[in-house]
Amino acid sequence: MAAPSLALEVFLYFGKLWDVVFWLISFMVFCYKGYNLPYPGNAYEMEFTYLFMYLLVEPPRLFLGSQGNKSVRAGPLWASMVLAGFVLFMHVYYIVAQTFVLRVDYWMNVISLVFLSAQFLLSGTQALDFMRGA
Amino acid sequence: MTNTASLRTKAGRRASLLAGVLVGALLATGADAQAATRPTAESAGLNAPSTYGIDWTDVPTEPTKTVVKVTAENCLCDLTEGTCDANCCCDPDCDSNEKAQFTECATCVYDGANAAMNGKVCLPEGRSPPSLEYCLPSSTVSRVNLLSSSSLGVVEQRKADMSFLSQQLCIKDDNSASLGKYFLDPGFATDDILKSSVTLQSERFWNPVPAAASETQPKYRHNDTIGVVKAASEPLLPGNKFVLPGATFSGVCGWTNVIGYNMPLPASAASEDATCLVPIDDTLSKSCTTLLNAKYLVNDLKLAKTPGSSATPTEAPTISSMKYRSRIGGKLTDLTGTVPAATFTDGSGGSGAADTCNFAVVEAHYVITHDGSGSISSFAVDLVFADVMTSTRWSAVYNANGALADPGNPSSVRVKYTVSWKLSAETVVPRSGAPGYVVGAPLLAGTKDTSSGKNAVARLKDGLTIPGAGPDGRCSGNGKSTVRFGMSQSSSCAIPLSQDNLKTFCQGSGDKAVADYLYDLISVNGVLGGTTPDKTKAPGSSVPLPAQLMDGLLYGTLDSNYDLSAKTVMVAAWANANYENIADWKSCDATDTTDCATELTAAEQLTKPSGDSAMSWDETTKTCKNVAVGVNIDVLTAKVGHLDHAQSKVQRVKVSWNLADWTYTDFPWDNAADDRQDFMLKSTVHFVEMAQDAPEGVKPASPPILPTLPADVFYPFLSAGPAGGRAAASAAWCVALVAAIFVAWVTARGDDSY
Repeated sequence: MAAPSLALEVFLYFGKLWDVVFWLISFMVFCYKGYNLPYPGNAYEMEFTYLFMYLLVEPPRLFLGSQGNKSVRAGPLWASMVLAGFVLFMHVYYIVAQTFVLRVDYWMNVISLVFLSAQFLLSGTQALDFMRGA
Repeated sequence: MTNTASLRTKAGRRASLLAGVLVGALLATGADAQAATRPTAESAGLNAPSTYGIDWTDVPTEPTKTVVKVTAENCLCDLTEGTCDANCCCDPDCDSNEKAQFTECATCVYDGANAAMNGKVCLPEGRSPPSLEYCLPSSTVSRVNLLSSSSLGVVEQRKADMSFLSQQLCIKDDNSASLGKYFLDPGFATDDILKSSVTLQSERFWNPVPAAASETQPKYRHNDTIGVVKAASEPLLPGNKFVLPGATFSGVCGWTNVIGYNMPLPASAASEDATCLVPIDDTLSKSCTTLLNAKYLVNDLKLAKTPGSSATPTEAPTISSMKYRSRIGGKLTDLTGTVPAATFTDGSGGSGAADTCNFAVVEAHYVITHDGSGSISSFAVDLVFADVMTSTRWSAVYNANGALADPGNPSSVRVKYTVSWKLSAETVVPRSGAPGYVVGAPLLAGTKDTSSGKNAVARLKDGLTIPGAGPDGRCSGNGKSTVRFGMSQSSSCAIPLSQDNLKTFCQGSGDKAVADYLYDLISVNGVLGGTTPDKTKAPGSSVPLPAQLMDGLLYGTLDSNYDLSAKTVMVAAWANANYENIADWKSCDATDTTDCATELTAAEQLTKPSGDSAMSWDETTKTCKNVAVGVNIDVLTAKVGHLDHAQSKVQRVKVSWNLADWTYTDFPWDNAADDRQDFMLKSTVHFVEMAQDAPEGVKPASPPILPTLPADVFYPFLSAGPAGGRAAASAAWCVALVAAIFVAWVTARGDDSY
């Protein structure tokens, strides 16, 4: 019989707290960049939009992950991992490909990636366990 | 060091050798010195073309194209290769010694690369390059110019400050393809591009030539030539068309202004091509019967109401006004009666009319009324006549007994013709732009007028004016110079004064208005009329001379002799300001409503200089100090509107006196009472562009739903579709989406996979 993962729940819990910090600081950094840096075309608007799309995707992802873990169901965990795809794309984009990568951007997104990676791997492991256990 | 010393030694040897050769050449020249002789035979032919010499040792065998970088870092004032351009601080050819000789400017303060040039004039160099703070390790250079991805954009990479916050907000990496907006070099231009560009720009460079209407055409179209209908034995204008004299390349009048239907003359307020010159030499007698004759221009002029040879003619023009312009001073007097045809009086006798074209038309302003659908209804004309004397006659007048000034030798008379069009009920009031000023158009100005408790602007037809010269170069109250928007200008004219005149004027004992003084210098009694010149008279100085010549405009002290003195002067901020709505002419400070930037009340206008600036006479140097020789007008302008179509407006106007010292050059042979020297009045207008912040209110384009991928994402596979990174990126997204759906379909499990 498969059991919920404490490690996954810990990463989900602290990941949620970090996400609040990440979002608020990223918001302020984008305001700073919009005022001070010469963005070409509409790149700034596009990159800022990602941050708000993140706001739509990240809470359901964490909720589904936590719910799947606690209710020992693989379905929500798979859904959480699918949503993690966008979040992963966003963090990688912010680290590698955004128009101006500030040092603060870099470290904030690296930390987020660490949380995301741990959550993703643990979710995958748990989901497989739950499927075998079922 | 060794290499440098060796080079210097070589250079020194070369210099010595060159000096030796030059000295030898000079000595040789001196030995065989002979006066130059005229060529043995003159012949027709073209001069040899003048080119710069080519040093073929510097010419490469296989030339490579120079990459032109049109960047912000260019030095725009460096206009001469190989030598230092004066006051160009960024010119790499200028060494420190040359820069030390640049013009002094006590108020000039610079930062950046020109910080060392404080106190000197630096010509405009272009904008400073964009500068960004990068996270660079301490070991690297702190400032470096790096080429961006395009060959045109250059950005300065600067090391960020070492504080914690700056270190977090510095740029770790950038993926910006462009760091500013540039015109890229478009490369090869095809013939089709030229054709399409010419089409887009057609009729912008000069006025289109009016074209003849077809015989069967019932109505005129815009810019059709207008026929002149011939009556029995009446003379016609050239080509049976309505043609007015205009300037040829030399400025002399010819029949060049073909009038097109509904096309005004001049074509815009900014152009001055409605005037031309008629020589007053031996050809004046002929001009008197043609160009200057009211018979052709008014009396026998009947326009065809519609195109075609059988068109109905209009009546001869209605005379709206007739004025006579005096020969000296140009004063206008109203005339009544019928329009006189010009006649030439031959002979060089003593009477005033000899060698003179009497009643020459020197100004004709036509207003043509049309019905709005291609037919001419009627036309009217304002006329100015003058008696135009030949240059021979001018000399005779000046040399007559009692003349107090040299002739000034006028060689021509300037004539002016304008045409405006209106519908029957319209009143034509020209603008200087809509809404912003057109460069070269008159600066709209007027005086505040009040009636029944209501305010309006009495708009000056010539716009704001400054004192100018008459045809002989002397100052004239009726020879003002119009201030034209965007064109900084200076206007000078001469006032002849003897030493005694200057002293009397300077000490404030003169009692003649300057216009009367100038008139009496020339208008010798019995020749042109007027009074006998009195050499003891001098111009009065109770009102400064420029204010006298401008009839008191911009002079803040009330004087009953000058109509415009102490009147509030308004300058229109926008070029289409309605003179009946005074609110359009004001732009007052929100807190201090007495400060209306373009409204000059009497208190803000000029007053007679006093105190340290008061006029004073120095007997030792024969100098009159602090003479108000003109007005300085500073006009602050600003741009409003879209960058591609910015409109210019006037933000603020300020006036001040131009003070100068007048020194009588005391030659031993000069007679203090009789010998006059010319003293110059000089007024200036400066148009200064306001330093403006970056444009505001830019609405960015909507962000794309999908992020843009690089155009070369599928490199080395290339797209054959339309050029452009955005198209390629869109295609890349479509392919990626299809691929993702395909992969999802292939790897899909059954519905019991959870």
